[in-house]
Amino acid sequence: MSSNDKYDRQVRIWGPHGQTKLQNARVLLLGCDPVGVETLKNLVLPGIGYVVIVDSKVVTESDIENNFFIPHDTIGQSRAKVVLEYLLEMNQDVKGEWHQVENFDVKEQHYDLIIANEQRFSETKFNLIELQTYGLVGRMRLYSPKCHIIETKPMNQKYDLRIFNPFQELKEYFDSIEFEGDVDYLSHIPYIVILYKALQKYHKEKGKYPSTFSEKHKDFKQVILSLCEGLEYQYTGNFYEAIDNIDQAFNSENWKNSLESIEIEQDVNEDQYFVLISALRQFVQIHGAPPLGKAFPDMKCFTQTYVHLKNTLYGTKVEKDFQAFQALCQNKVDDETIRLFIENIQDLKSITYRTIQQELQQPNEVEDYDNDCYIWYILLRSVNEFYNTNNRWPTQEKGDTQQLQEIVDKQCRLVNVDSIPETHVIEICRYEGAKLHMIASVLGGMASQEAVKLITNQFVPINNTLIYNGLKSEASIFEF
Amino acid sequence: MNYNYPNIRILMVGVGGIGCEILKIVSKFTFQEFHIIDMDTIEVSNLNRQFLFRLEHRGQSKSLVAAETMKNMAPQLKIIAHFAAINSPGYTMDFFRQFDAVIMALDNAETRSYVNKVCQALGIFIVDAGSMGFKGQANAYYQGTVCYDCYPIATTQKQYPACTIRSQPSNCTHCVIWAKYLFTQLFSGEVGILEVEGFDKSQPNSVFNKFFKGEEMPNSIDIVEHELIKKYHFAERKETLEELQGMWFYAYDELNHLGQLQYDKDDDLHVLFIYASTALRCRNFKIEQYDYQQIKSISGNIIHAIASTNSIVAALEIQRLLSFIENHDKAKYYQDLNAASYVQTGKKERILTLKAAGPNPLCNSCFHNQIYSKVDFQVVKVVDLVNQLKNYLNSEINIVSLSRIIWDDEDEDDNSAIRDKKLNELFKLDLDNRLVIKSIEEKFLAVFWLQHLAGQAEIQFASTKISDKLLKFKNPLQHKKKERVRTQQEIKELKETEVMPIKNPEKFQTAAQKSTEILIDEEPIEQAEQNKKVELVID
Ligand SMILES: [Zn+2]
Repeated sequence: MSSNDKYDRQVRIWGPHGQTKLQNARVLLLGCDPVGVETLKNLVLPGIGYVVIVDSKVVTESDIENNFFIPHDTIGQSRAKVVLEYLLEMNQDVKGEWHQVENFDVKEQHYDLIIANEQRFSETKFNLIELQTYGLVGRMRLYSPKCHIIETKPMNQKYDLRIFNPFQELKEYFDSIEFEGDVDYLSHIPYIVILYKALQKYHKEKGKYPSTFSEKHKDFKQVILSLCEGLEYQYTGNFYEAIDNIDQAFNSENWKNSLESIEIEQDVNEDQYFVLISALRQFVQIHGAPPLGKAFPDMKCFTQTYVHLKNTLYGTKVEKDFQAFQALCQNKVDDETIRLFIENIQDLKSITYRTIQQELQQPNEVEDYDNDCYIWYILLRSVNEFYNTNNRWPTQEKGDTQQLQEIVDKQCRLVNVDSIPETHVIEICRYEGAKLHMIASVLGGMASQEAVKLITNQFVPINNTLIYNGLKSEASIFEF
Repeated sequence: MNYNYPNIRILMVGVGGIGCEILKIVSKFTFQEFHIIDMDTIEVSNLNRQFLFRLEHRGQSKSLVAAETMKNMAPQLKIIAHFAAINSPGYTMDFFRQFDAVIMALDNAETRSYVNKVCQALGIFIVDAGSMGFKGQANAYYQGTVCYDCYPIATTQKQYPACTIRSQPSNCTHCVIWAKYLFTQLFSGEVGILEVEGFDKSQPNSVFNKFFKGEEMPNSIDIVEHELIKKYHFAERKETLEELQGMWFYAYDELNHLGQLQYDKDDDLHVLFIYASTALRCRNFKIEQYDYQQIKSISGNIIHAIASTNSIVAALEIQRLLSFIENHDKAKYYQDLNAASYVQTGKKERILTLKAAGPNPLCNSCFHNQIYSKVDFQVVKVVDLVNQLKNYLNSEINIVSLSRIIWDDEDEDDNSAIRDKKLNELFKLDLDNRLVIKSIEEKFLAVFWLQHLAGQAEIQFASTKISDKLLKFKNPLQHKKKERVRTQQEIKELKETEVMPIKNPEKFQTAAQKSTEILIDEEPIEQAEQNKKVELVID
C-alpha cells in the first residue's frame, strides 16, 4: 500500500491534481496560538508538503491550559519546536522546520501560504490567512496577490444546454419533436425539449421572452404546465423536471459577466490563464457563444434518446468547439487544461483582494448587516488598538472599560456606525484576550478549508473577512 | 474561563473523525466520567482525519486507543472506554440512564436513530453532528423538541456497512457502490474495502475471475466468448451475458492502460465500466438491476469526510452541550433548543444557527406516550402480557415490532400462533425490546419498552409523565386526510420554510445531518417514497 492510501477520501473532493499541489506546498505559520496550530493540523493531516513554524515564545502554563497540541511536560521549551514535533508525528509524510526568533524575514523564501495568528499582519507577496480568536469571537482575513479560479465547483452545477440559443443541429432536433402521441411517448420527452417548446410558445403569446424572476417562475411555469394539460399527474414527471430546471433555460448568458470582469494583464503570453481568457474572447467574437462543455445532466427520457442527445448532438458539437478553441490557444496551453477550462466557463471567477493595510486604514462600510458579527469586528479592531497602546488586553476594571469605550466610539465613526450596545463592550472586556480551543477549532477548521482553496486554486475562497460569533454559533463574511 | 463539571456524566457514541475532534476540545475540561464507545477498529484510511491514531494502531480498537492516547494529553478527564456496539447486550436503557447527556459522533443513520429513540424515551439530552465534504451540521435534541427521527426526508442519503457491500448485497445500489470501489481500487490506486490481491492486473481474465467467479456467490459467472463493445447502446432490452462481458473487458483494458484515474461520471468509459461491473454483480447475486441512467446517477453521488469540517462541527456540538449544562433556566432553554447550526451554507453566512420546526406529531421516536415494563421473559406468556397491557390502556390494541405486526386484536387467528408462547421465544433477553402499540379505535399510539428481569413474574407497567395525556393524544391518522400531491417546487419550499430553513437543502442538509463515511443518494424509486412522507400537511 502506498502512503497515499490514507488520503483516499479527500482526494475525491479536490482531485489528484489538487492533492499534488497540496503535497508540493510550503506553508509558513507565524505564531503558535491554538487557532494557528489548529489550522496547520488540518493541513498536516491531509498531507501538506512542508511547514515552517516561527514563534519567539517558550511554552508556559497558559499554553498547556488552552492548547491541546502542547503536551503538559514541555514547559520552558520553544513553542515552535514543541508544536512542530507534535504535528509531524501525526503524519510522517510531512516535513518541516522551526525557528525561535523575534523577527523573521518572510521575503527570503517562497511560501504558497502564510498563516499568521499574532496581531494584525500585513504582507502582499504571498497568499495570506490572518487569524485571531478572542474569547468567544474569532476573525479570519484572507489575502491573495493573484486569484483567478477555473475550478470554482459551484454548489449547483450550471449546464450550458443551449436551450435559449440552440446551435443549428440542435434547433433542427428541437423543432422536429411533436407534442402528440401516447402517454409513454409524452412522458419521455426530455425536459430540454419541453423548455425549448415552452419558450417558443411564450414568445408567440407575449411577443417576448421571460426575463424577470416572476416571468420565469410564474408565467413561464404556467406555459410549461399548459404543455402537459390533460396528462395524468403520474405521467408528468418530465414536465415537472422542466419546471425544476427552469433556470437552465437561461444559463447561456452566465459566462458574459465573468468574462467581462477579468482584466488581462500585460504578461498575457506567460500566463496560461490569460491565454485562455483571450482565446475565449476571440472564440465568442467568431461563434457568438463560448465553446460547449461536455457536462450533460441526467433527465427523464428513453435511454436511446439520452444517448442520441448526449453523444451525437451535443457530443459532436463539444468536439468541434474544442478543436476550434484549441487552435486559438496556439499551443500555449495543454489539452487537459483547455478541457478543464471549457468545462468551467460558466463559473470562472477572479478576485481582487484589498490589502490588509487598506483595511486597517479604512475598512469598507457595511450597510445591511443582520447579525452581530459586524459589531464584533468593530470590537476586535478596538481591543487590538487598546493592545497597541497599552501592550495588554482590556480587563473588566473601570478604567479599562472607559478607555476601550473611547476607542470603540472612534472606530464607530470610522465606519459610520452610530454606536455599539454596551452589553457587547462589557462582554468583550470579560474575555481579557482568552484563547479557547473550542473557538479555535471552528475558526481553524474554516481557515484550513480556505487554505486548501488558495493552495489548490479550486473552489472560491472568501473575500475577505469572516467573523465567527461563538455566542450564537454564527459566522458571516464581509469585504472590509 | 474554566470548564469543570464534577457532577456531569457524558457518553460519547462513536470515536471516529468527529469523535477525535471532540476529545481534543474537551481535553481541558473536567467531568465526573466521560464514557466513549465504538465497535470499530482503526484502518489506514482513517488516519487523515482521526488524529489520535497512528499507523502502528492499525487493527486495534478505536475507543481503547483513543482513551490510552488521551491519558497523556488529558489525565483529568476520566475516560472510560467501551469496545462494543451501542446496541449490543449490556448497553441497554439501564446503561444509558447513568448519563446526563449523550454526544453522538457517528457516521451512520441507523445508530443515530437508535440512540435517539432510547434517549427520547429516557429524557437524556443529545447533541449530534455530521459532516460531508466542506459542509456540516450540528444539532441538539431533547424530549419535547424536534428529534433526530422527526423528519425522515433526511434519510434519502444512507450509509451502508462494508460487509454488505463486500459480500451480501441485497439491492442494486449496493452493487453500484461495490463497482465504484472496484474502479477506485483498481484504477486510482486508492485504498478501500475490497481485497485487491491474488490476481494479475495485466491479465483481464484473471481480474474478471477474481471478482465475478466464485463459490461464495449464488451465481458464479464464467468467461464466455464475446465481442468487445465500446459504447453503451442497449436502450430497449437487457443485455446478454456476452454483451456485458464485451463491455466489461473493453472498459477494463482501456482504463487499465490509462493509469491513475479519478472517477468521472461524465466520462462514458468510466460509466461503462461501472455499469458492466454493476450489472454482472447483480447477476452474481440474482438482484434486480437498475437501468443505465440510474446506475450512472448513483455512482456520481458518493461523498466523503475531511478533517477540517469535523473540527468545526465538533466544536459547534460541544458549544451546544455547554450551553445545555451551564444554562440553569432549563425550561426556557428547551424552547430555544430546536435550532440547528449549518456550516458552509454557500451564502454570506458561513455558519448559521436557525430555529427548526417543532416536533413532528407523526414521529413515533419522540411522542410522549412511552410505556416501560420489566418482566421475566422465561415465565410470562404473551397472552398474559397483552391482556394486562390492554387493561392498563383500557383499549383493544395491535402491537408492532420491527415493522412486523406481532399482535392484532382484530385478527384472533394470527394471535393464536403466539398467545401461549413465553416472551423469550419472541424477544431477546439481553436487549431492550421496543414495540409500537396502536389502539384499535385509533385513539393513540404508544411506544412500549419491554425488558427482561429474572424473577419478575408479576407484570407491572410504568409510563413516564404521559399517562394522563395518553388518550388525549392527537390522532396522527387524521392528518392523512389532508394528504395531497405536492409539486417538487412546493416540496422544496416546504423544506425551506418548515423543516430546513436554508437554501439548497437537498444537497446540503440531508446528508450533513446523516453520515460522514459513505453517502449516497437513494435510488429514484425510494426517493419518491421518501418524498411522500413530507407530503403530509402537518399543522
Ligand atoms: Zn421525533
